[in-house]
Amino acid sequence: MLLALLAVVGAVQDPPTAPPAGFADRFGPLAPVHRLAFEDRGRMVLIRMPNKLWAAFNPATGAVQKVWRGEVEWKGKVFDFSQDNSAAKGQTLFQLPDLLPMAQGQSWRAEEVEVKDGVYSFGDAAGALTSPEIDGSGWTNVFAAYEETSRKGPFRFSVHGQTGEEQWFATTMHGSSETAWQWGMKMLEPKSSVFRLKVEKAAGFSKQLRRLRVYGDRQVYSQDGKALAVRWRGFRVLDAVAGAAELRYDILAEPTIPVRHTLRPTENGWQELVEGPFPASPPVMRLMQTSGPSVKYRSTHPDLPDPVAAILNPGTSALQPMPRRITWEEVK
Amino acid sequence: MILAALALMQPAAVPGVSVMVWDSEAALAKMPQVGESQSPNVFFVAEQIDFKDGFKTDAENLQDTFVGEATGWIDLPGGVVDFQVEADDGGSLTIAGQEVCHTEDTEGFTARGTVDLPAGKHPFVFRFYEDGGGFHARLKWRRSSSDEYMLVPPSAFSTSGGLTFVVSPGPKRMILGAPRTDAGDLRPLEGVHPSFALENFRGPAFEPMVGGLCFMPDGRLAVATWDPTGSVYLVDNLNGPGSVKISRFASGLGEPLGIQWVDGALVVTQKQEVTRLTDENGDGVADGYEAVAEGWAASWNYHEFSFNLVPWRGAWFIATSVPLKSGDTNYTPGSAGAYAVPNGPGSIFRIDPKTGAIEKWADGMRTPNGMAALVDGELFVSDNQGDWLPSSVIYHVKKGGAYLHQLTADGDRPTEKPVAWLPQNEIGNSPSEPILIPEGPYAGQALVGDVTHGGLKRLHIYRVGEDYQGTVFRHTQGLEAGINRLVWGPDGSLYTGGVGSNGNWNHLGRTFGLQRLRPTGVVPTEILRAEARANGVLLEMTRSIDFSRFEIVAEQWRYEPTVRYGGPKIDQEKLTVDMAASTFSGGQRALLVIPGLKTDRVLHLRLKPKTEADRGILWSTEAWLTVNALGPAVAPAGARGLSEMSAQRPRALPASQAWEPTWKALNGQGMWPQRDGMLTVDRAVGDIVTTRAFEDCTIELEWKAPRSWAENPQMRGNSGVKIMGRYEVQVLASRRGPEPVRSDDAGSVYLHSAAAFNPGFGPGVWQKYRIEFTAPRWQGREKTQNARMRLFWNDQLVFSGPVPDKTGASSAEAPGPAPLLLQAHATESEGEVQFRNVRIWAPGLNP
Repeated sequence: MLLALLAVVGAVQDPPTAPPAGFADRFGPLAPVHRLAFEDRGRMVLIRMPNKLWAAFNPATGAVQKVWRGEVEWKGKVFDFSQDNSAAKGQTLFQLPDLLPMAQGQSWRAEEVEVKDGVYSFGDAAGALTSPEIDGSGWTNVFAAYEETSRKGPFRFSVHGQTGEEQWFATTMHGSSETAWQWGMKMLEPKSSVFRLKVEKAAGFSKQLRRLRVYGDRQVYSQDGKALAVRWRGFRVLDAVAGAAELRYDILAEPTIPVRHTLRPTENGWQELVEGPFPASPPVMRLMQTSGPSVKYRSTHPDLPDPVAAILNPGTSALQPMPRRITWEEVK
Repeated sequence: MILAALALMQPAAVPGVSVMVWDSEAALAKMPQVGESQSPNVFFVAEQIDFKDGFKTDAENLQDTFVGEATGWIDLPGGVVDFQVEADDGGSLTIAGQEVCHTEDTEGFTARGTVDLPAGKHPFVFRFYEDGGGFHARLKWRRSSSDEYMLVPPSAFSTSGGLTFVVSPGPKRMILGAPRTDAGDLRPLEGVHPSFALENFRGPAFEPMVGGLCFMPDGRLAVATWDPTGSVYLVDNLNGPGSVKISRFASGLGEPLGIQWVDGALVVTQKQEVTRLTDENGDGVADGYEAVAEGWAASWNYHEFSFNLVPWRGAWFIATSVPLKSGDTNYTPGSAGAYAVPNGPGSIFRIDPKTGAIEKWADGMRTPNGMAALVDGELFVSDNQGDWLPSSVIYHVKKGGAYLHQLTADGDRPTEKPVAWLPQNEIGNSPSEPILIPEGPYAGQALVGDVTHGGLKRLHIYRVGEDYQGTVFRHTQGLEAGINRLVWGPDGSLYTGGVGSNGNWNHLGRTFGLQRLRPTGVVPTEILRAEARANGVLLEMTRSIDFSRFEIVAEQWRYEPTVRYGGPKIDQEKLTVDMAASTFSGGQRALLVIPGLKTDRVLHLRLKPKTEADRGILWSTEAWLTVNALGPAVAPAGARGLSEMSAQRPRALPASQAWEPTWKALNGQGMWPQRDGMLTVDRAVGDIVTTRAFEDCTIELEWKAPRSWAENPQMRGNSGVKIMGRYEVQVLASRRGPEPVRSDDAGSVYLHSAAAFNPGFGPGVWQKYRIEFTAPRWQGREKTQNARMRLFWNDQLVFSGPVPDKTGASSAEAPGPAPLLLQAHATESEGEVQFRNVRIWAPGLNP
């Protein structure tokens, strides 16, 4: 089966993956893999495929975080001198969730805060904003990120779980004016898997807040209902022209599972092949989820139906037991 | 062609104008030129050009004597536009490189001019200065002669976004007319140090923004680039014939800022990962990018760089910087630390190369953009001015060390003192990689690059008690970019890699560079070393000078780290050098008596030429001493005596009459390995002796002790040269001079007499002994005259006198000739002592 898959990929040569505009020089080809801070994550791996297809692999989870057709908005000190980080530009085909899920049926609680056009305006009076319950189970590298105005007084952020206030921090303001939006972020380390985030402002000055979000890395591997951490081992470029790479990581189960995760372009989109000595029992489960278009998952496991194991529609998710090999690709 | 990559690097535009203001030390009668490498006191983005009363920030309150500059792009409607500059005390406007008007061309504080340019955004510079009295600076325009002049509105201005500007408090140097001093005397050097010749070799198409440099065993130079492509280039054929050959080995790395050849592969430090590059299919391009170490806490903040890759004591060391926002430390204080992530930023990490395990070795760094093993094989790191760092510094890296940058905005934990301060704009601004000078008269000292101040600085680090402190000197300018990385090549040249970015993190606006400095053997006249001692400053020149031709000017100050960006000099005071009490011995050394010299200060020394005729004698006139503590006193008489001794030079003997000895093991079994003319101690073989014996003799040899950090000093590269197997001149990895030495250190007649002073170069460097030996005289079995010895260490006479008995555990004295013995002593060093160029002159030994 593996050989057959490779044969299909071998036919995908036209057009070759092209270097991004402005990257080429005459001293040799550019690898189709780029390391950079991407969409608020620091250690991302971007794989550049033909037909403007891009995949962003997250070495913290062992999963492709996002696939899109289009370009990369290159931002950062070595790209446009800015203090920002890069982002996808184009049509998103697949995306693992970014934002931690909040309890349905609950809403943000605002005290002395006006909400309009996505901006929280805190007046001179003391004010507070409290989130619904946030479920952090199965997530790692969780951050609160936001933008704020005014160089007066910080916001006080706090995390409240089963044991009460479990973490707090104050924002800091730098910038050239009182009105400019200033970004900020902080890693959250709640002791409870379910928690609320509270933002408070003291009395005596006004201040605004927007793009408040709690995001992180959704762990995709689990065993016995417990999320498994991943140790990144690097990658190997399989085909610099076609844009194929083998991503390597260890799933920190007992015993450790060394994984080879191959990503290749196909005629219809892309194809992933995940190989490793996954145990039969207890099985290692992998989260299959998409917020993009439908994605077809194929399994080569002898005990699972072949060729189609599941077709996930946008916004759906499922847990699949990990066979030794599994592939999936975009459905046209 | 990398220009194509740089084309991507267009700064994002934001509304407003970028404004920089410099505090002038002197009254300003006209528009001055800001001195080179002077960072501004104030930087901000203003909506438009309408300033009055001065500039006040948290750190500065500039009311009088300042110079300013507003820059950006101005959006013109196309066609003729009239401009009016209003500036008290003066101002000028330049658009698209054309001076539009200047108040100095008119009477009063207003000037008018006209441009006729196409519609669109054009770069402009608006300069202004203030001497005293009222201040205003405004830029107005009108689009037709019938209109009133109006302030140019904010909508017409844009400037670069995301700028990080280095600012610093205190007065800045201004140039009013022609310079009154030579380059290197109160102002930057203009050229490359005479000990080097500058060579360009990279070719016009290769314009690397250098993040890392290392040599591979085959002689190719690996260049990691801090640019959009994140590449590693291999540069071959460095010394011709023909041009260099360049190929890209790897790419897509995230801001690589360190590279080494380790264990058969290139290993790169990229942003938040250490990665081994391998070429598994052998096509000359890396296909394997193995993550050797990663996972330390990090956010995506643009300033959380990962620097360096230093193999040291069996592990690898890297450094990380703290998150910034708009140039200031981005603290988010709270219950989980004050950075966006805990326990990662601003640290030195030790990495186990086998397991990838990461250990935090030290913290309290800000932007530690350069780390290397220097004097005594110890690890040192540079750090850049900013919050908590009133000026840039060099630190000695200690396990568990806490350094100046506090982990919280209100932090007050005790911190380690810098080994050396690099006073802002005077001798540093953005220090980068240091590198040890392995050979020559500066051996054991270091050079350190600087991205913004440019060029190289020379650093003399010495030990006082258990701690190091250092003195900084100007060394080199005239390179094509600010210097980020340094590496010695197999051809003996120093390869310099340049880099730069936006804002003022660059030198002269340059962003790339790769050149080499080939040693010339020329040693200019300058200060070789300067050390703070209990009774003054010990000054040593590279050669004798007439000190009376210079006025010695001294000034001291201290710094106080605060959470504010940069910091002023505090308690600044001029000191008087007591010339009458000072000792000037032989013209090469001086002990300067400086009443009022204090510790925890920076001491600036200048050898000011007294007359026009005295200018230009010295390559650089200045030294910046960090005085954390005072070293042992030097007795003036002793200094004089040392000078008299050091004035003596060994008498040359014809090499053709020397015996280049043959050797055998003392116990007759085996022999030390001999390769390329070098003998390497083999302790399994034991001591070795010459195959022939003699009495009176002159012996010359060179030796090198390995770097060592054994706790017991006697286990650091210990060996010995035993004349007649009895009278030992010690060989040891002793600290380099002028650190005092004991009677069991290198240069001693073992346990009989310490070297009179220490001209040693320290471990890891070839050193020279010349021993003029007169054997004892005997009548029968009765000794009638003791042995005598004159010992020159690196051509300096360090002992002269009788040796009354055998030394240490050597063979007892006895009449008759005996062979020379080289000792195989126990050691805990990694590596063994080596000898080369052993020559003996003795009656009966002539070839």
